[in-house]
Amino acid sequence: MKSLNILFILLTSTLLSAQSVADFENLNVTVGNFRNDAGSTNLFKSGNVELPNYYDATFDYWTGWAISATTDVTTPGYLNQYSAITGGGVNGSTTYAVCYIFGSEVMNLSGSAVGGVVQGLYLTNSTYAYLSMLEGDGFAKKFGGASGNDPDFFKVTIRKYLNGELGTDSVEFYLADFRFANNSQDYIVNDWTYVDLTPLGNVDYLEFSLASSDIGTFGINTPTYFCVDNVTTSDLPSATQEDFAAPKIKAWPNPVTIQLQISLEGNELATVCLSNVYGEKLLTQPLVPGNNQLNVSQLATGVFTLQVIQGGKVFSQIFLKQ
Amino acid sequence: MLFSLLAQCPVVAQSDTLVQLPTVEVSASSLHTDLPGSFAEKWSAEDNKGQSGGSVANFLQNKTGIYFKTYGAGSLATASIRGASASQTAVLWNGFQVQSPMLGLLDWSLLPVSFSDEITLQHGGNSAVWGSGAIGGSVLMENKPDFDTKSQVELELGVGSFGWKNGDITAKFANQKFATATRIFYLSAKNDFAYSPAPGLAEKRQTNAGQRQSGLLQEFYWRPSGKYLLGWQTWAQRAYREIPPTTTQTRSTANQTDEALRTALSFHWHHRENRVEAKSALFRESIHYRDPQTGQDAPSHFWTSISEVEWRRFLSNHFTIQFAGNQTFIKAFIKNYKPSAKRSQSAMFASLRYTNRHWSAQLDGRYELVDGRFVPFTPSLGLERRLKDWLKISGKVGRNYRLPTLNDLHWIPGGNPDLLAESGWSSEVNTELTLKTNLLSFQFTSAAFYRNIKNWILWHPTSGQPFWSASNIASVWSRGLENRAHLAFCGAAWRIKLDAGYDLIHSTNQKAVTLPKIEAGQQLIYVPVNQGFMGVEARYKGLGISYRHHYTGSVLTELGSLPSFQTGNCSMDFELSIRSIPVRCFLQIDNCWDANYRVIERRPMPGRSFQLGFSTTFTKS
Repeated sequence: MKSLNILFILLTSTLLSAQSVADFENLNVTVGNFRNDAGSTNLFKSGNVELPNYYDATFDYWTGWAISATTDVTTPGYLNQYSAITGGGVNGSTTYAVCYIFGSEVMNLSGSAVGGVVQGLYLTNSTYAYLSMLEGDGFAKKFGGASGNDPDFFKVTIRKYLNGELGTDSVEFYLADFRFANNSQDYIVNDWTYVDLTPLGNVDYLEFSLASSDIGTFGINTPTYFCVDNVTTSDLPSATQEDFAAPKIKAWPNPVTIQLQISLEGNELATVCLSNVYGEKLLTQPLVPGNNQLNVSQLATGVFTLQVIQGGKVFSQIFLKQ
Repeated sequence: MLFSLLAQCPVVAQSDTLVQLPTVEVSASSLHTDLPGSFAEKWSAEDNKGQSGGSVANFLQNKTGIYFKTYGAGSLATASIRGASASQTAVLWNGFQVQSPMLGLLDWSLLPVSFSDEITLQHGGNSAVWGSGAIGGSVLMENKPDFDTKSQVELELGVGSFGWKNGDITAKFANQKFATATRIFYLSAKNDFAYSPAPGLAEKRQTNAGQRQSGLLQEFYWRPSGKYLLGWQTWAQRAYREIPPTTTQTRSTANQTDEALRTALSFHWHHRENRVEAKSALFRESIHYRDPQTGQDAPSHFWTSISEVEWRRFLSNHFTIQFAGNQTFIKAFIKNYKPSAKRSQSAMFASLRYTNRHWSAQLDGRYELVDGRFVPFTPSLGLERRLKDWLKISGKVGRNYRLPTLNDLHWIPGGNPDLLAESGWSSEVNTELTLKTNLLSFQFTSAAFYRNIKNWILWHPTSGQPFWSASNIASVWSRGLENRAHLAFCGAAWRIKLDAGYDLIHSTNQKAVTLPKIEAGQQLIYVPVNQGFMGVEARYKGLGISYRHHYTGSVLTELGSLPSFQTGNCSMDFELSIRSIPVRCFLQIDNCWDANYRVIERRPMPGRSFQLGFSTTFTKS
């Protein structure tokens, strides 16, 4: 009887929550190469995960997420900014994601994963950050300092957004930790480590931020990079999915200069929320069914996140203000 | 005007420390150098005798109280005068600004002191005279024609700790109408000094810190008559420097090559009450940063063309008026400019001076057009009043500005072409007390200054932009006191000089900024509130000995703060004659108390070091 109960639970849970893994292999990046330009969507999509990317062709500058298959684990410096210290993805796979954080960065969920539990993901250091912490560079310190005793750390903090609200819970993962009394326990992560995100509960999207003990007037000195692979999301069954389905809207043009057009289907009211790359809310405005306009002319040039919230359902889109 | 020379013997003229000014000067006009109301110090090249050849940074660090932000032996050195930033000091070579238009500053460690006949340090703002950047102070390096020395060759060689080797040769030839000077310098050092990374830790030896510098300055002067003078100077220099690791960096393989080719032409004419000077210069300078370890290879270079015409007229015994125009073109190349940036600056400036037995006053004004936009009119007024033979007071008020650098404007990403010039008003009051007897001279100078600079440029994250960018967001208030005292005793065969100085400088940000994290009212980073020095120099016949002690107060840094430190430098030199040829041997000990200190976070400084050498002069009059 006990076995039957367990079988029932397992079957039920499978029915309720199938899983998808975003391993970024679908983005077809060949070994030794990377993509720092997601094109017009400004999103890299894999599984039920969308990674915002900002790329400026004029500046040849990027931030947010890049997709990489580079293997260089020995060259220090930012010219090797796309490599993971593991030399590849999880379990010898080719492709992984690299995050370059400027303030904070988000990872969107899509499709049936929106509003569900993110099971977890694999994290490791970029070669750039790893070698900087191991040996120091012209700007950042060697962890442990000259004596080896400095209680240095480099950690990533993951928070969730649900229904447009930032959750209070967070998951912290130390990419390097030199706070031990016994220096032999100090470490800098150099392999893929699984991080359980189920404590965050249901999630619309995740927010990542970095903290380092090597910080000064100008912010974090440690290179603010880390790498991610195999993000496992929960796929909600269609019945549940309906409840969490995003509002049916369209937003255009992208890039936008003065006025963003937002079309909201159905008869329900909604709220639009605009935030910058730090997650700061810049604007909140009600939306009515039909066509709406959002004046963005006062915004500085750059990348913004548009969220439409309708009865707990959330639609997110990255757009570029020119 | 405070001359270091004044503090020397009042009776026994020191031929080796007096500059014989020629009839017509190839230098900035006196309406720009001897400014009423300004606090200035001046040295001749002779003042560096008895010390091993070095940079203007080393020279001024040893002679003045100005604060040098130096990254270590042989590394980048920039100055902060009166609490200003490194880019708010104008550096002029024969009247031409030589700061990098890309960075807005100059590496003072690359200026050989042997390439100047005279160095003047003007404290305080002088933008009405010198234009952009003259906010905290100005340094004037001058070459002067010498038609009196028929034939002279000076040679100096030195060796020292940490692989130091230097050599300087200056050859001068002249007749009544023609004068030439050739100066060559070379220096190299390993800079592999030992240092303690932190208290209680074993010493480490600095690595990848070597340098090789060489340069040539060629001057030609032609004086067809007493009314005309033509001058030509070409200065070529190359410096290869390794960039050492920080105290928290295992190794570094980075290096940098700086090259400069500066050529200047000048024409002087004077007739009765009129004096005209026309001059032009063309500079090409480059910096090439490489790091084989990281694969970085970042070359950059710029061209600067400067043309200036100046007309001065003596209106009466009391009034002098001067009008001048300057046109400067700059073009700079670096990958981040995609691929180049340029700037055109046109300036008109005028001065009116009044002098009588007791009073001196000067009114200056400057209008500058930069890429089609006017910089606010920049006036200044200086007054000087001699109350007694021994007491003089003076004061000055004026507006000053600094143009944004080309990096601030055009760097991709983050450059902001809409930036305004940093600008503001400054004022100062100076008191000068001088006493002289047959055996003694004493001089005390005190300067109180006050300055507000608005539109201060900072790089910071801007909402909506995922990178740092330049904005006119800060405002800085600087105020302080500079005090100098000089005392000299002289006998028939001996002299003793004592000097001391103390600076109290508050230079505070007036607006809070989130990132970089700045509190309102916070002292600027790397600007000490307190600085002081005292020195003693004794000379008996051919033997000279000197000691100088510096105190630098604690500074805020980008990582927190650095403690105060004290250093002492001493030197000894001995003059002798070998077959009628004068030879001077010298021994110099820097940081003789072997202090362990930092000027910049994570950048170690060398402990005690020695330099030994000699100089000799072959002269045919």
